[in-house]
Amino acid sequence: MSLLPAIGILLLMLATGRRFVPIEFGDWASIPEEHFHFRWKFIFDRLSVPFVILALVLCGVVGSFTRRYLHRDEGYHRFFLLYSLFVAGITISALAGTIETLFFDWELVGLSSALLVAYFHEREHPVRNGQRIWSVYRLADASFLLGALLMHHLTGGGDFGSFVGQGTWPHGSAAISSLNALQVGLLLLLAAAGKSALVPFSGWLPRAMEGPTPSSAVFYGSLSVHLGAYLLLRVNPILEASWQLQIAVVALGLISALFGSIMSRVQSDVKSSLAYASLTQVGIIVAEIGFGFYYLALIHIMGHACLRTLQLLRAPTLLSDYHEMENAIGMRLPDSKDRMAGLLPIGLKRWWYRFGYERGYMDLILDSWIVEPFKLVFQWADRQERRWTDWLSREPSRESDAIEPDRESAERVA
Amino acid sequence: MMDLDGMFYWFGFVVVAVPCGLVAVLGFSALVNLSMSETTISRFTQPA
Repeated sequence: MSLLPAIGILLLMLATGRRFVPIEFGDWASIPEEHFHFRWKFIFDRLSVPFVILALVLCGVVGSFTRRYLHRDEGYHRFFLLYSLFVAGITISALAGTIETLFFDWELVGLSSALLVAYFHEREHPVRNGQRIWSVYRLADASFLLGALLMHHLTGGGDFGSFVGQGTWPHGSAAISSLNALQVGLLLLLAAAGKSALVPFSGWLPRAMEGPTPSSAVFYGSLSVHLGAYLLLRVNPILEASWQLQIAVVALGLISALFGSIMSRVQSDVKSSLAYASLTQVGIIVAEIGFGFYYLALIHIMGHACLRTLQLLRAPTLLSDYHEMENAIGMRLPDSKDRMAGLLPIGLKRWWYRFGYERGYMDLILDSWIVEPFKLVFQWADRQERRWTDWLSREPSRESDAIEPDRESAERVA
Repeated sequence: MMDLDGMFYWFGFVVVAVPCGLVAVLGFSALVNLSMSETTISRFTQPA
C-alpha cells in the first residue's frame, strides 16, 4: 500500500520535471527558548524515491517469503511486529528531511535489528549476539547524535536543506566551512561505519546471522547494511567540502572491502560468507561515494541489495540448489580456484587465511581497545562513587553489597 | 481537481502513514494478546 503512492510520486516527478519535493507535517517538538524545532519533514528527490521504492519492494518480497518460512513458528507474530517496526524505520529514514527524523528512524531500524537477531531467545547465543549488536549500535549512534547536535549548533536547525545548502541532490553545496564539514563528516562517518559494519565494527555482521534467514536477508544483505552508505549519500555536499574527509571515506571503504573480501573466502558457513561478501560490496560503495560517483553508488546499492536478498533467501537450500544445477548440466560444477592466491608465498597465504578465519580479530580489537578502556573508566567512577557515599553515610551505603550473588548465574556470565 | 502539490502531499502522507499504521496495529494487537495471556498474567501475579 505504500509502494503504489511511492511509484505515483516517481511518475509525477518524471511527468512534471520536479526533482525535489519537500513535504512538511509541522513541528513534533519545539523548544522556543533555545530556538530548537524538531520538524517532521520528508523529502522526495532523486536519492530518496529510488531507495524507498527499493526498500518497499524488498520488504514486500521478504514479508511474503516469511509468511511461509516461519509458518506455525512460535514467534511468528513477534517477527512481524518487529519487521513492521523495521519497515517504518527504513521508509522514514529514506525520506527524512531533517537529521532528527533520520536519527529517530535510524534508531527504530537498530532496535528492530537487534531484537530480531535475538529472535530465538530461548537460546543463549542469539541473545548475547543481539546484545552485542545493540552495544555497537549505541556507540555508532552516540557519534550520530553528536554529529546532529553539532549540526544544530552550526546551522540552528537539523534541516538537511540548511545544512547542505539548497539544490537538488546530488548538486547541493555545503553551507558550512571546510573545518566544520570535516568535524561533522567524521562523526557521521563513524555512525555510518557502525550501521554498515565497516572496519572496525565488522565483527557484529556474522553474529547478526543468528536471526531468522528472512531478517538476515533484509537487514544485513539488502537494506540496513546500506543505510550507512545512504547517510553518506544524503550529506554528500559536506564530503565535497573537505578533501580530508573524502580521503577518509575512500580509505575506510577500500579497507572494509579488502577485509570483507578476505574474510568472506574462508568462512565455514554460507550466511557468514554472504555477510562478508556484502561488506565487500558496501566498502566499494562507500569508496565510490568518497570518489564522488554518487549515481554509481546509488545504482550499486540497488543492484547489490536485490542480488544479496536473493542469495540469502536461497542460502538454506544452497546444497539442494547445487545438486539441481549439477543434475541439470550433467556434470560437477567446476571448482572456482582463485588464481591470484596462487601467486602469494605459502607463509603469507597461511597468515591471510588465519586472519580471515579469525574475522580480522575485529571483536578482539573492539573489546580490548574500546570496551575495556570504557569498562575501566566506569569501574573507577563506580569505586569513587562508592567511597563517597560510604563516607557520607558512615557505613556501607549499598544494600546490594549485602546480597550474595547467585553463583550459578555469575559463573554463566563469566 | 486536486492541485499538484496536494497530490504530492497526500501520496507522501500515505507512503509514511501506512508503515506507521502497521506498527500501531500490530503493536496494539501484541499488547492485547499479552494482557489476555493467562501465562503472562500468572507470571507477574503468582510467586515463583
